[in-house]
Amino acid sequence: MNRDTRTCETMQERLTARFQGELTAAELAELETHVAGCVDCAAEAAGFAELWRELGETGEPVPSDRMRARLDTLLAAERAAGRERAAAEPLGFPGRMQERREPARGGGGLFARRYLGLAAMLLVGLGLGYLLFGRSGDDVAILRREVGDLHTMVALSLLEKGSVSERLQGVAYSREVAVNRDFSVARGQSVPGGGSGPGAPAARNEPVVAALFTRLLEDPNVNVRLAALEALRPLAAHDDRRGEFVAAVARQQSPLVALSLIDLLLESDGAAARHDLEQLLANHQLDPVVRGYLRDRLGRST
Amino acid sequence: MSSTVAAVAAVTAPENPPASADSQLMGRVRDGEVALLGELFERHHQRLFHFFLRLARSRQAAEDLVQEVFVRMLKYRHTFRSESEFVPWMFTLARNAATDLYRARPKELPQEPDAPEPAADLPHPIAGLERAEQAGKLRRALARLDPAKREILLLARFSELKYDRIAAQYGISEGAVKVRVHRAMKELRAAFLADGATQGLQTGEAG
Repeated sequence: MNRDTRTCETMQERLTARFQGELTAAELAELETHVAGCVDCAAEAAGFAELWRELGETGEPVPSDRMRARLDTLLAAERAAGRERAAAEPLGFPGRMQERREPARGGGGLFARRYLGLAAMLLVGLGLGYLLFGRSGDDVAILRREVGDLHTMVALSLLEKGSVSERLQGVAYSREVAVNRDFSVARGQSVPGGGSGPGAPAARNEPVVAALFTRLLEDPNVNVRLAALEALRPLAAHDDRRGEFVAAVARQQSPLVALSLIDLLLESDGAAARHDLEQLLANHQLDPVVRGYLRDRLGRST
Repeated sequence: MSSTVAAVAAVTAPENPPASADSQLMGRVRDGEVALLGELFERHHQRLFHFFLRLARSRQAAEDLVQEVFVRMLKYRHTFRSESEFVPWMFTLARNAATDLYRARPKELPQEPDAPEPAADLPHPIAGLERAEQAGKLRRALARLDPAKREILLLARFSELKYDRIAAQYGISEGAVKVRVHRAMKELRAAFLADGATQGLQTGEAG
């Protein structure tokens, strides 16, 4: 190297900045002149360029469909939550009104749709069997219960899967079969526009509800816990379930989920939840961030 | 020789949609049109995924982190200001998501050189072997970098943020960003070259 080392160092420091477009025209011109006459810096420049390019090329295909399906599941949950909030507040915010006009998109994820498809096929088969062999009303009721059992089995199976994406699909599917179906968790309660038929008190699908609470409390992935929370949202206003939500606030390791739980409880049944949440403030093990937020929310809601 | 520097320019050209369009979209998401988050996902998930793929250890972790960033966008949408730029905000969420993941699951950090390779979905024909070898070298070199250096280098590479924006994220001067990114790059190159030399040595010994 026939240039002084310091000049080379200064020039080489510009190599990375060059990729970012951070050099002035004068600095760039100086760099080009130097590199043209310095073998060492030319080698460095070529090496840096190769490495920079390599760094940007992971060579891995982006799993767009899978990730998009997961996002759509979350957005569907958020929109459903928005609709429920809007239904609870008839004068809702303009933003919410706009959101409600948007067409439903995606739905409960690819897996959930596939399982729902299978269940639909099974129902068609059962219906044909009924037509061909003239089942009695009791038999149809039994068959319907069996189909319900199949839904439950699929939901529970997905919720126990090892991969995060499958458990998210399990939560979305559980929401479909346990919340939106007529053998549901919560449609028996007075949810505006509920689809279970007039005055049909639906039995809760307790195994699915219990499995969703387990996901909410124990799942290692925060996305799954949030999705489970959204799926369970219709139950937050129920007196016999509120305690489980309140207990879940204290047990959450992620403040994000704890804050969401607090919002959910106050939005679902503010007056009743308020009392339970105030008692939670006495829990000294409560995360300071959660405590501050809770105190703020309770203060604001008076 | 100046052609070397000119060739570098081809590596740098950003191909991003206008920042203002992103900010407008995010503003509408904040105001209630949550479905528009899907549009932002389509625009940005690819570079987020590649950023996380380099930063984390596995495809699954990278996917989880992309998901987490969009969950946080939804959750914290009210904190987005219309006058803000979307991409710096997104990468702030991304860095926080990665930090939280590493705190909860340290095994997701890139491992030392002998870490198993992430499972590739594509078959590697003979023509792809060289690429796979290069990719392996780079992965091992990245794993040797100090986590803070790795993060700022990858942020510079994938976010396409200007140094002043990166400086604002870290609360340091623009000059400090320039030095840190360059040092990280220099160390990465040294580790990359050393890996090649070691491999060559091992191959020679084996032969």
